Amino acid sequence: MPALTNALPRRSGWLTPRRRKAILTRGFLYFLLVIVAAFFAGPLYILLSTSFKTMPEIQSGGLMTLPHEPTVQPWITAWGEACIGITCGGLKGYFGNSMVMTIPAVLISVMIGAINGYALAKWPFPGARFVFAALVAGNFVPFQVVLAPVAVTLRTLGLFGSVEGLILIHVIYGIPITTMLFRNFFLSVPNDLIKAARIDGAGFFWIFFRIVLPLSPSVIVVALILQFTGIWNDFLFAVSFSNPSSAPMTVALNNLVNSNFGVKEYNVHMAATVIAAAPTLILYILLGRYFLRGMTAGAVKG
Amino acid sequence: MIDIRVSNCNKSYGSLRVLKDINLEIERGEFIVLLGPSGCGKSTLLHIVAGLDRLSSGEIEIGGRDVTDVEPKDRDIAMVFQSYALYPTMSVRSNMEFGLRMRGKPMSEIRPLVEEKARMLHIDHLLDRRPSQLSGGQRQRVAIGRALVRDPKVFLFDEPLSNLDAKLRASMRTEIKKLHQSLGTTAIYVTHDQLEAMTLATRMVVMKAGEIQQIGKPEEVYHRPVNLFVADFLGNPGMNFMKGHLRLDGGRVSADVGAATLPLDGYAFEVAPVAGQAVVIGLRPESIQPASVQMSDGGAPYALTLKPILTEHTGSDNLVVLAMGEQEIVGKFPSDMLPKLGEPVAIGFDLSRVSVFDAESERRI
Repeated sequence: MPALTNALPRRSGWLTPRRRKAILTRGFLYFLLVIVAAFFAGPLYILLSTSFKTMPEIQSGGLMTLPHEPTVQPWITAWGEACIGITCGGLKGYFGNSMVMTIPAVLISVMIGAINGYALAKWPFPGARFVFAALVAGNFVPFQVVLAPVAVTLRTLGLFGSVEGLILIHVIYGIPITTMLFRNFFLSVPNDLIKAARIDGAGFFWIFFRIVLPLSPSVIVVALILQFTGIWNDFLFAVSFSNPSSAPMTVALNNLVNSNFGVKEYNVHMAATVIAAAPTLILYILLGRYFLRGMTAGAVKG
Repeated sequence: MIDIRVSNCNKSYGSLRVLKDINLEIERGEFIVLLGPSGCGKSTLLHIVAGLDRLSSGEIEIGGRDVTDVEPKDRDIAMVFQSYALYPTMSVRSNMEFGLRMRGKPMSEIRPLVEEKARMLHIDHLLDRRPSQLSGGQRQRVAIGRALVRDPKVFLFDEPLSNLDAKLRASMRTEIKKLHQSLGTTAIYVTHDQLEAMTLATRMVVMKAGEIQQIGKPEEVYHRPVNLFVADFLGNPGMNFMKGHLRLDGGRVSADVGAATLPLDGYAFEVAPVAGQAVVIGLRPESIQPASVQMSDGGAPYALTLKPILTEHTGSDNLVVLAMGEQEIVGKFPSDMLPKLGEPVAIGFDLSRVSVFDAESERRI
């Protein structure tokens, strides 16, 4: 057999005009991306580098420099020793509060949203359109408006100032968005699947758990991330309806940074901020690719 | 024995009446095809028999039991969908097992049953695959298999072959026919494909705008359509229609269609003909052939000399458009007989196959 691979002579001069143009376009694209990335990553860099500096080094200026004598003391202080209000136990208790509040609130609101969305999309009942319209409207209620009524409601229920009260409020105000998310996704699930399953003998919940949910990992991840970020980062409900023993991270961070006693320990504040942001960051890193996939799912048929 | 009875069934969405007073009785073991243009309500009727849609008024009986308010799962039916509707996250095996597991059958009984039906449909080597890894034809086999393992009283087919290519459709059609012959289960089959309807049906139901037009054996519906709609809907190329008037000379009836007067001596009128009545004469292209070709009934055909104005080859025959006075009619010539355009040919009319409709009511008379 003759060597066919050598049949085509290599073109001399690889930088053809066409290739040069491609490289220039690419280069410009990368340039823009680097600027945008720097814009977002810059604050994070300052946050991290400051959190490893000693106070004297911070006071000597040089915001952008790397720490000369890196120390983890600010992290230890922020986590376990910093004074927040009148107690000096650091953030760890509040981190726990946030977890105890966020995880159930996220799971319950996503679960209810999924079931609501499934019912609205696949089991049309009289008035379904009205219910959906009401839920959509619920997404546009500014939370400031409901603060006073919610306070009264929570007090009546005996939940004011408790973690359970916060969970309840976050679940209620999470349901409109999760319902809408799931309903819109489930509309794309073929009706014939539901019909086939009904004939096969599956009921409402069997179809939901065995057929519809296994089709929806991407939208579940989107709902989880959206709810986790929203509830973990919430400050308004947290500061309004918690007391010192049930306060979540956001409130504790605010109290720590805004305390007016002594010197401002910027390194501790920075470490505390990173700790407060860490769970959502980790969630994005772990599930981010599902998130992106979920956001574009259904955009193109296929 | 009546297996399915649909009585006075109505269905409306708001002010839109999708089904109007449907009455239908289906004997055990029949293969009923619901045929009609899209939007005629045939799928809705099937869904109502399945219990997936509720009817606005009327009653449904299956196997002598009133199932009007019974859930689909308790009607002892199985359905095959146009979109296959296989559960995408389950293997073929799980898809076929699902219905039986929902009914609480032990796995020791389900397994051999699924494997037996899979072998029967030649999908036993695909049992561990996902639906997405199958071709269209294989998916439809799985969908049929899923219905088979349930061993239901009634099979419902909702345009099951519409998503397949022409060749596959033909072979699946024969397979469904064989399947029905060997199982003998009552089946209702919805399609808009008249070829499927003609070949599969033991009786067919032609529908239009929510109303049943005609129920009958395929050859009966084909040769003796009850109205112009059915006559026009069935057959490819369509039936020829010639407008004219009836003439009564003594005891003999004939139709004056302008260019000719067609004798209707052999025609069995259902309604007594009236002289001068405006009628439409229907004759299928295969009943219009060169006079030299022996007619199917063997009798001397009525012949006219007509000018061909257009010819079309379909491979198996030649379709010839003939000028008949002001009107045009299509005849079906054998493939080896191609008339020259513009040169008059003697054309034989097989008037034993003629249909006469009242021009006003459009009904067969």
